Amino acid sequence: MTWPQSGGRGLFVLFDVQVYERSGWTVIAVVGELDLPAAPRIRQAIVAALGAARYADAVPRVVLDLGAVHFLDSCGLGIVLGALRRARGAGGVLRVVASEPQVLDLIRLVQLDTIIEVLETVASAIEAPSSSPPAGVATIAGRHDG
Amino acid sequence: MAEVQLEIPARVDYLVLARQVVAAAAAIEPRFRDERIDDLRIAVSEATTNAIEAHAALAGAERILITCNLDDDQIEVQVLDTAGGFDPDAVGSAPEPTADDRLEWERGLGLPLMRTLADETEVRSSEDGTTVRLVVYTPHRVPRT
Repeated sequence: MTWPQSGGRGLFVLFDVQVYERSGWTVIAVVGELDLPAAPRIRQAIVAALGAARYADAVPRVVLDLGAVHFLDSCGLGIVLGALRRARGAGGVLRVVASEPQVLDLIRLVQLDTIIEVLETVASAIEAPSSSPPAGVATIAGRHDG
Repeated sequence: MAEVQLEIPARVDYLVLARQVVAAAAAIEPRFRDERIDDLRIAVSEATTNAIEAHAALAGAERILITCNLDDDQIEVQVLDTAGGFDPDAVGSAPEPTADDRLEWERGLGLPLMRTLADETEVRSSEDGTTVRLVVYTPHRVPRT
């Protein structure tokens, strides 16, 4: 296991954030664990991406790439919800990439995929046709599989 | 029964350590499937996050005690803080799925997630602090009478 230190919050912080442009989209790629320690930097990246689009007088188009995130909790879910709220508030589009089973399971458990577009790769997120956003997000479905 | 205890400073940079220690302890029991260990990791993360935030709200430099008991048919984790407590019943729930203000709620899923992912969840809180008890059963556990 590698232990990225660029989170900058201490010894046991396991995440990193990279931001890059691709085909007119801002990709915010998160590596590691999306939880309370990760929240400030990711929120900062999202706000910066939306601000840059506003400065350029462009429609914000953001991919939140969680493809390399292998742990997600309610703080991470809150980050995604906040990103979606900010993107829609700015008149923009936000799509999420997720592929790790634990992350996908949690997204489906809280039915986040009913309100946000969740795709398997950055390429598919960028190339997906525009569509009306899903209508709502549920709370939590029951689950006790022993 | 085996017991693992971990005492950490109430700081965000110890959150990962807390859940990794509990997950490693759970992995000692070979009957736990990876999915159940993931459930426990998330539940412990929620409980420990709440404890860290409770201490942060008090600007305190206290510590959090995490106790992990491995039994034949279950794993029990207790997360104990001394941050003054809260009323679990007074914690607001996130709005319904189709509510217009759902996106305004970036928080509020922690307790529901614990209750969903653990087989037993108990929150005991007083002015002295809060203890969250989480239990995950091993598969094919024989119900206790």
